[in-house]
Amino acid sequence: MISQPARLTSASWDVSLFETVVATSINGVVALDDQGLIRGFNDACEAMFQYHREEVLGHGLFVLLASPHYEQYKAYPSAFQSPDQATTRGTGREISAQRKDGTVFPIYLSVGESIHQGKRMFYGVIQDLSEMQHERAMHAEERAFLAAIVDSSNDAIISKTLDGKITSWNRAAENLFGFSAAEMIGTSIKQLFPADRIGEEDEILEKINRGIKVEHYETVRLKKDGTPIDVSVTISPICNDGGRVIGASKTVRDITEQKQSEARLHTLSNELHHVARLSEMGHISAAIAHELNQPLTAVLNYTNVAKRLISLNGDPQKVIDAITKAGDQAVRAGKIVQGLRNFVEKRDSTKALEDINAVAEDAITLGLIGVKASDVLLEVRLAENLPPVMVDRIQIQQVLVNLLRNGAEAIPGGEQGKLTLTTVHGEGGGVVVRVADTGAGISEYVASQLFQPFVTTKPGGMGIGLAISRSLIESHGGTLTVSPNKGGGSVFEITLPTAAP
Amino acid sequence: MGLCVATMVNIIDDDDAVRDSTRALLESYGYEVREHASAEHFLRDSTAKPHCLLVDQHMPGMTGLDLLEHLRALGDMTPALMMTGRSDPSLEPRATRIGVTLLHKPVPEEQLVSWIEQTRHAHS
Repeated sequence: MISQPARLTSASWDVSLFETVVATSINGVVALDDQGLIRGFNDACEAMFQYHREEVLGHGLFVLLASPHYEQYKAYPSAFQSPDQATTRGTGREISAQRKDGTVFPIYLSVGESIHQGKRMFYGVIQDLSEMQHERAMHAEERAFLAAIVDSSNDAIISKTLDGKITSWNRAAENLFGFSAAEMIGTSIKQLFPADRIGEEDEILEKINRGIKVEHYETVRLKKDGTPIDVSVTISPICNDGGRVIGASKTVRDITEQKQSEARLHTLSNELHHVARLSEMGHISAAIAHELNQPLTAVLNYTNVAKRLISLNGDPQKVIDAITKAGDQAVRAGKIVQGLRNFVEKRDSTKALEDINAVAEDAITLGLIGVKASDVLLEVRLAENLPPVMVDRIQIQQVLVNLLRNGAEAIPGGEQGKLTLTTVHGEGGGVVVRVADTGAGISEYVASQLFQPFVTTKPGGMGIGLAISRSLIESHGGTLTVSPNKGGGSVFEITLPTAAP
Repeated sequence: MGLCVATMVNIIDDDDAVRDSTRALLESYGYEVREHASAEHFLRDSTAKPHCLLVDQHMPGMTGLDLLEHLRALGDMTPALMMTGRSDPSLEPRATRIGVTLLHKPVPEEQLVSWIEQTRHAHS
């Protein structure tokens, strides 16, 4: 409720009311005469100092104080009168007081001056600071505790203002970057940034300003000697009591070693994929040999034809035809070798935007070499307008070849089974490729183990094909799962996300 | 040898280039050549009474050996040359059992022609 300012004229001054207020005030009120002797001592003072007012009236204020203020006020009882004692008159100060029983406690003493019945006099308002001091001590302890945590942290912890000036720098930061706290505090955090990443700071500060935490941001920072280090940085806004962002705290973790072991793992997994490809190759190399010997046979035959036509003085046009056809067959053989080389070569994953249908069609060519049409009827159903996927073509082909050959092998000899390759739109975008067979199917137990390395249902199989296949698909952000086919057999399903825009 | 009848060779291979090039080569030697893209196709063509057969092993559907075993079972003893692009140790004994020569692709010209000549003389 908003009211008009009180009209001071409406009530008369009630002296006794005022005396009551002073006497019962929560703060201690003490009155001193112009000699500095106590002339008034309210209830709060009695409670605070444990003196009855009769015991202190007529004594100097110093009787209520502890060293060093006791001596100070005893020596200069009229300190209040001195006009240059600005700290004691008109304004307040924190001093040590002493109770009757000798216990020392902190008070805040404010002193004022006035004229009473023609005489100059002073009054002091005393606030007991014991409680506050206790709280301060608690805070100090808490702060020391937190500081100890910060200081003993293995992660560098740095705080900075919103314009990137460093305000704290813990021991781990000293160890990590090689700069001491003294060198860094007050300077710009940008000196830790490599030249090509200087823009990151503005991006980070922009987020922090909006109160957004930046978590596990992997980047590179520089040591004092200029060595780059791989770091993971988490930056959180620091807010004041009013909730306004006033700075940022930053924890920096050295992930150089982690990065190195990731790289080692990557190399190992490439090696493993290479081994797996070679093993897969073992299975299909016999088929490939046949594939290659076809054009070689044709090349040999056509060149022999040309040779004979020439030696028998035959039609020159027929000679040219035979040689041309021989050349075509050599090209055909070259393409097979090329495909083979891509498949076997140890190489880093190179992803590109691909049409999954085209990848699937190539895989069918490679995967069904040597599979008899009398045993396996292949049905291919490719969805139109599928989004392109960002994949390593060879790796996806390898997985599909593996699935197709597994499917064909799952079909028992002596009966014609069906192998279906389907591509469809994924539910949440992306694409789905399914390879379904009408083979023997897989028991639930085996299905739960199937993607583990060295689990196989094939006599003589190594059982790493599916484990590798799954890891390849997962390295594309996709999934590879198996479920029973409704009409018997199994369905292997690959999902792949769409390429990031 | 009274009448000079051209030797008829039947090629059974699913690969167009292999068939076409073999035909061209054999025709340059004066042989009469017929082509079949599959074993099933050959069996349907009952008019074919060849002197010899050149058969690919790996074909979709019936394989070369399947075909030859089938023919032998029917008492058809037409000389046959099996040509395979794959080294598969299980093929050899099957071929030997039914008296079929097994050669690996690519088969050199002299070997091919001399085999055809041998079968022709053996049966004339």
